[in-house]
Amino acid sequence: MTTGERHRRMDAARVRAELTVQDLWLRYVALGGTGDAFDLDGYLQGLVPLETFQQDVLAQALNEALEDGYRSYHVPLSSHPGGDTGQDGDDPLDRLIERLVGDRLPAPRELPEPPDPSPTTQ
Amino acid sequence: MTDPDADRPAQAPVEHLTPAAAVDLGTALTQMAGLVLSRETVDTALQLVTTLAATTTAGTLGAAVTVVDEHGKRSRAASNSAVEEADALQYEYDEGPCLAAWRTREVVRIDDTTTDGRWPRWNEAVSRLGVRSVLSAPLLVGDESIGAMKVYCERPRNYGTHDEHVMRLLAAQAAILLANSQSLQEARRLSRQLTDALASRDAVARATGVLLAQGTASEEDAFAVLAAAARQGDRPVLDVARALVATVAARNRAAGARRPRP
Repeated sequence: MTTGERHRRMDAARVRAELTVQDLWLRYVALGGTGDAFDLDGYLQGLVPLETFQQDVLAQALNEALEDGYRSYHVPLSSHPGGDTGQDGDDPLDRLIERLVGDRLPAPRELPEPPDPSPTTQ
Repeated sequence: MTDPDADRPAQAPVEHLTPAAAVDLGTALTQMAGLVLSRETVDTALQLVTTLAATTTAGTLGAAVTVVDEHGKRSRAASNSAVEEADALQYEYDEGPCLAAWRTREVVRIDDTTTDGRWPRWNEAVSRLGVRSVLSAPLLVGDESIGAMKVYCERPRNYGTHDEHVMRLLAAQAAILLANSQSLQEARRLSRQLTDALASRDAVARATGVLLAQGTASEEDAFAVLAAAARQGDRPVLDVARALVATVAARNRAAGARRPRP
C-alpha cells in the first residue's frame, strides 16, 4: 500500500465509523498518539505527512472505532442467557497476557535475587 | 499465571504513576475556555427563553424555541402541546415561519394563517390546531443563525410592529444565552472525554514501559506488541495494556511475598 492510499483509506474508515476528526483525535490520543488534531486533519486530507508510527496508532484507533460500531449491532443468541460476561468471557485475554508475559518476562523466581538473602540480616 | 493466588487483572494497581502527557492539548483546552461552574444546561435555558417570549408578547397562546447546532441537530422547548405540534409540522413539511426566520435571519409575522399564502400546507394544518397568528424571530449570534423563537396566538392579527420589536430584542439576548449554554454543554462533554482519553493513555504508556523494561527494543515495537495482542484477543489495546500491567504487578507482588524484603 502506498502512503497516498493509506490516508485515503483512513479517512474512509473515519467516515464509516462516523467519527469527526475531533472524535478520532481523542481516540488516537488515548492510545498514545502525539500529533494534534490539526496534524490528523491535514494527514487525512493528504496535505501533510504523518510519521509511520503515528499512522499505526491512528490505524489502531480507527480499527477499534470500527469494531465498536460493529459490536453495538451485535445480537446475542437466546441460548446464551444473561449476556454472560463471567469467567469464560475473560479467559482469552488472560491466556493472551499470560503468553505475552511468559514470553517476555522472566518468571518471578528468575528475577535477580538480592545478594545473599541471609535470614539473620538485621 | 504461575501463582494461583494472584489477583485477576481487574485493575492496574499502580495508579499513582502518571506520566506527563506529551501531546499538545491546546486545541482541546481552547475549547474548554468557556467552562464555568454553573448548573445551567441547554434545556433550562430553552425553557427560560420560551417562558420569557410567552410573557412579553400580549395575547400569546404558546411559545417555542428551536436551536439548531452545528451538526444540524435540533433541540426545542415548547410551552404547550399545540405549539409543539405546530412546531413539529414545520419540520415535517420543511416549511413554516420559524424555518423561514432561521434561514432568512429576518423576523417573520403571519397575521392570519387562514389567509396567508406563503406556507400553504403548514398554515392550513396549524389553523386546524387553533393557531391563527404567528410571530417568529431568528436567534443570531454574530453572523450565525442558531435557531428561532416563536409565539402563537389563537386570534388573527394579534401581533404588530411593536411585538416584532420586542421579539427582536428578546431574541438577541436569548441567542447569547443559548449559544453560551451550548458551548458549556459541549465543553463539559469534551472535558469528560479528555479525562477518559488521558486515563487510557496512561495505561498504554505504563504497558509500554513494562515491555521496554523487559527488553522490547523501542516504544514503537512495544505498541506493535500490544496492538498484535489486541488483534489476537479481539480486544481494544486499552484492555490488553491494563491486563498486562495488572498481571505483571500481581506477579511482582507474589514474588515479593515469597521473598520478604530485608
